[in-house]
Amino acid sequence: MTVRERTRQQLDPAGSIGTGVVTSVIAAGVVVFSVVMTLMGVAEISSPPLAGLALAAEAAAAATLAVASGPRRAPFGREPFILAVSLGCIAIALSAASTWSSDAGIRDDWAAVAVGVILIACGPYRPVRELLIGGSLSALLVGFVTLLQYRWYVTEAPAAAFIIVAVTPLLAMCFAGAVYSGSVVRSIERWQRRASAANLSLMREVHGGIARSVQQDRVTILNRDVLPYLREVLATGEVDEETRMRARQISDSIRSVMVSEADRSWLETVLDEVAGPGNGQRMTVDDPEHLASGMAPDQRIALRAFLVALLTSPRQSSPRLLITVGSEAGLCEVRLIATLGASEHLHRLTLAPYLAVMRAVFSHLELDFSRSALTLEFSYEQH
Amino acid sequence: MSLGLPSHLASGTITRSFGRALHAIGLTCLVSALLTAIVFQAADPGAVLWPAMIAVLPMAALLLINRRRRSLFAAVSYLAVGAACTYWYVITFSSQAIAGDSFSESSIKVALLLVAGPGLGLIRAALWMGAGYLVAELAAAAAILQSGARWTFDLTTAIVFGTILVILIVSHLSLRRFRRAQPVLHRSVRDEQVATMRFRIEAKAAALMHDTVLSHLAALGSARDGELDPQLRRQITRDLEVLIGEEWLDDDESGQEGESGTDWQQSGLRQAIEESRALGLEVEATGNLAAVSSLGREASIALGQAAKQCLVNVLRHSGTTRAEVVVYGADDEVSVMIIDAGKGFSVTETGADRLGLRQSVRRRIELVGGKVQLWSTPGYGTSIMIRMPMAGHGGEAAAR
Repeated sequence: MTVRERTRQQLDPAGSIGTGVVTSVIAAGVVVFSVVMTLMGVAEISSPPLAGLALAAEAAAAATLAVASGPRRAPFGREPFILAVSLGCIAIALSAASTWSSDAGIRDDWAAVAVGVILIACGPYRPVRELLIGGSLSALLVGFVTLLQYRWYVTEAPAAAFIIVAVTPLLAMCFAGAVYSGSVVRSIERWQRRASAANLSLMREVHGGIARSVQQDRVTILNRDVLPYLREVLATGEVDEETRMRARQISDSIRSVMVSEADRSWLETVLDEVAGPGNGQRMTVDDPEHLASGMAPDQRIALRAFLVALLTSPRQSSPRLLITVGSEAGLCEVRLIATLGASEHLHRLTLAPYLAVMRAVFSHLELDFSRSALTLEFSYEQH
Repeated sequence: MSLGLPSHLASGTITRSFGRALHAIGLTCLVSALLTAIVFQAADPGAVLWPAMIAVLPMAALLLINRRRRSLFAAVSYLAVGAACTYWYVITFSSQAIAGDSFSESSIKVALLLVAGPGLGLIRAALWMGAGYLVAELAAAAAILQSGARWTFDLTTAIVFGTILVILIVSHLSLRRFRRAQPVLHRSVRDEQVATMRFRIEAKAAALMHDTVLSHLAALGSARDGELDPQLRRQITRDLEVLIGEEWLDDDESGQEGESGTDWQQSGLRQAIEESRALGLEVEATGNLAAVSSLGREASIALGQAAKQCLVNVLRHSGTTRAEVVVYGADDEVSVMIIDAGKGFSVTETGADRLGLRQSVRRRIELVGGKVQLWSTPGYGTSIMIRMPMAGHGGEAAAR
């Protein structure tokens, strides 16, 4: 299964959809801040092309941040994080180069602050350790660049003071991002522990009831033919042709019931629960190898919740559904096609949180809304 | 297992974490202000900068108190003491015309505006921050003006204030959306757990039905004319009592690992071998038999029942009355190989209705986290390998 990272986005995917908007606003703010600060310090720029390149690198870092945090690209992985921070660091180097020998002071050096903002914006998406590593490496770069430039600063002060001032905003925001990430993750995990303990005791309570109902079902089947037959055989103590024939008949009928039960896939059972029995004409499951049963518990929960949202939406009247499960090179691939009764926009909005959860637990999720149908494809490793 | 925070906890959790993040910025700024004073003092031993160093300490202490337990008193104290400390810090530098004030006054002012602590709503957090910003600017301006230095607008602190305010507003607004999905997600967690439990119990019931009822019906279907075999009679009588008796499925298996410690003599596998011997099968048990004692209780029972079904199959279908059971023990699993030199069969041509292998062996073992592999060739016998994880190595997981 897909191993979920200890980040807010991966542990609370549905609740984290809104963070994309915040991150995009921050990303836009980074670009505006960089441009404004560059214009304000234009007199100190010795190489306008390098200043332009620094701004371009910063804009690319901000774009990486905005794109990777979009709900459709979730989860925000390590690669875009490294890319965004590296582009920010390139902007630090280019910005310093663009004011080489003419940088009058440190307070208008925007690139280090921008990297700090990128790090704080990644708080919901990346684990504590990565944020701290990113911040420390960037701070080392900022310190080094400051050490190279401080001889040109107009204010007289020790080099160490310049370095402290230069790295403070970056480190402060890096720590803030890391504290946020760690704090949310700890809260979610604390809740998960409490919820699993409560669930466990609930399951213990319902276990007896379920066992009795299963037993009752079995006893009902047995009472119909098997028990009277066996009692009769025990009573007479004799075996003849009729005894053998009845044994084979009863055996065949029980066997066929058990085979059809064993052939019933998890997906069919879920659809019966969600859409009610007798949905066979509208809903088809093509999973001959019962591959859906090989999903991990989180994956089954996510798919079940998605099906509940899709099939019980008040805007959706008697949808048609086709689910195909196949496997290729050890990877199971699922394709779900549903006809839609309402507009695409409404469905996107309703299903967004469930799709966010699906993205967190399945790999390679592809979604396509055409005019009247939704096609969803995703894959998972057999559990 | 859970898929995210429920609605009633989400808002509090996020604002609390946001507040902690702001306090982290505040503490970093205070450490920076302290370090700046130390660096300037070291560079100019004649200057008197220790008051600036001391000024940072009460602020740091109050910020930590605000972080631990937020109260109106703690927040107001932070603002009041922070204003005095900011004034104290800035005037220490500016009165001696040391450039340090232009460096570190922003740090101490930013620390003061981050008074908004964990667990506040949008408006209250914004108001506290606004108050912190005003108090910080006024205290610093008073110190600068009193020392006769020139006051200039501090862009850095204003940018930090504006940025945090924007992030605060946008994150509060974004929190409101999409929370409606949580009840469905949490219900799905419960429904899926109940469904998994039902599936496990049904699978167990099906395996039991197969081992008892279908087995007796098969025996009766091929019994000779005349008196019922006394051994079959005993088995039918015993199983009927079990099947119509109460609670035959009700042993708690709600995710709990059974305790390990069933030794070989009491293990399900030994019992299966003994029962098969009683049915007339010659079974040779070899290898590290003691390894089965590392299995959990549930796993040991399932292994015994599955092995019994394999041995019964040898007796019924293989055409031989000899079988070998070999036990291998590794660090994290126990493997049991059941081998016969009988007539074998073609694995690919086995009918879909071959329930014994599916229900009584494979599914039963998979339910306790184990795996089953089968090799058979017509004319060359059959080998079945059952691999069971040891207790504490992922065994008896909610497999399905």
